[in-house]
Amino acid sequence: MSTGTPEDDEREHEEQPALDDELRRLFADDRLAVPVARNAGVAVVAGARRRRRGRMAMAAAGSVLAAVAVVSAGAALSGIGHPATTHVTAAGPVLSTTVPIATTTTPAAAPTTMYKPTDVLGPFGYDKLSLGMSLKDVAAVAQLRDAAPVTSNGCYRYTVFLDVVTVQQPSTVVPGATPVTTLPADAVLELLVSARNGVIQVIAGPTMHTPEGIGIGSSKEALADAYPLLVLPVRAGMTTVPATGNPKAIYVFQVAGNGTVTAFSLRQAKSDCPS
Amino acid sequence: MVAALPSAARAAPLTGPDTDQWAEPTTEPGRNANGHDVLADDFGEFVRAALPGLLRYGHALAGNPHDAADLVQGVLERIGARWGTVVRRTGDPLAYARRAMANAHVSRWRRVRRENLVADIPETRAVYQPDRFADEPLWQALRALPPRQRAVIVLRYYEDLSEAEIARTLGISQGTVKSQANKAMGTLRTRLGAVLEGRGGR
Repeated sequence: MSTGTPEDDEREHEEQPALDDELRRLFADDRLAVPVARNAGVAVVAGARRRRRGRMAMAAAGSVLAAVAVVSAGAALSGIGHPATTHVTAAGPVLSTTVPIATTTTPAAAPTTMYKPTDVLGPFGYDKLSLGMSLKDVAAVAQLRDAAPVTSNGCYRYTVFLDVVTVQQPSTVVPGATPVTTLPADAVLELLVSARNGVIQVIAGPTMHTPEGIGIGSSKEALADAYPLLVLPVRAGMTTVPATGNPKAIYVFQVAGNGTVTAFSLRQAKSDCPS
Repeated sequence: MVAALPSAARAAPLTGPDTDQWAEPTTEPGRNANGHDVLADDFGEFVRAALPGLLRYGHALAGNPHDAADLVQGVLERIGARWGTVVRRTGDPLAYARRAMANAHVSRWRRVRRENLVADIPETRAVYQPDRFADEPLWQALRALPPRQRAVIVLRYYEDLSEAEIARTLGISQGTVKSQANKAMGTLRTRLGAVLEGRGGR
């Protein structure tokens, strides 16, 4: 893809250190100053207020959607009769294709509680499950039966049910695959665990959301509003953002072509498992 | 005042269940239980103090004052919309705003033009284009870089961030930061060389 290795480039880099100084000089230049309009502050505050109203309406709609997601996923999957260990179709796509988002008429005076805190996949993890936890510690808060290796790195992937951790069939685990949208309807979440670094990744279930209110089915606009630090993918794809409050974690969002979040997870910023 | 915000934010615990967030939406957006208009007062104050610096930074990032205004307004509105949370949990809204701008610059989904932040600039870009940096080949070369390469350069030489910090800010690997920086520097050198050789040539 790129010509020349980084090492080559670095050698080249050292031949002309003056460019560094030139760039610093340029960025210190007075001509970069931009005059500020007199009413700029007012405009920004008004814009923020408008967005806040929109966001709160959206969030209120989101909690309704989460409930819908459970029902529709359950309905869609109920005919399959899968045991806990089989690979099933996803709740995410079902939601994203059937539920319109922006039809809420929630008034600006939003409800005081938008979500149950227990549905939050926070910057450190979910409920008693945190990033970095050893397999042993996970086993102490959830029943653990067996493990299916994901890679030769000693990474294992688990599906967590209400209070039972069980294992996916090895055949459903694709090495290096993005662990998304394959949750059985009644699963709470999935875990990627490495032998060395414990819980590497917590993959959210259909009813969960981030502290900022983003969950499966959220729009890309809601995503951008919730995470100003986020780089949205140009079309479909994965994107990550630092998890506020935990410098060692990031959120990973899978965004579909229609602009909705189809899966998300919390991951150790430095992961030794493929994801 | 703005200076007091980071320390106030630092006092809030960053770990454990953040129960505040459930209570944040009150009777009216941007107004707390006492009727104090947080958006107009605290956030408004922050905006007024931060705008000149952010616009300047945006100018470096985006390459012209109009896109700078775009970036700044979009990012500040988003931050204002969740001002309480940003202050409480990031500890430094200004740094947060600057990083958010770098991301917004790279992100292609934010292209709604906003003009009203910038004073005294002609409406049409054509008028403005032969700009204050017309005699600055490095600026012109910088402006021609792809958004992500440009962001890496600005974060490195304007913000003085380390490779690791840039990686974290933009959500890319350190290896990518390195390769993007090298690519950008290579391009800049090539373009500068061409300009210096054949003055007037681009």
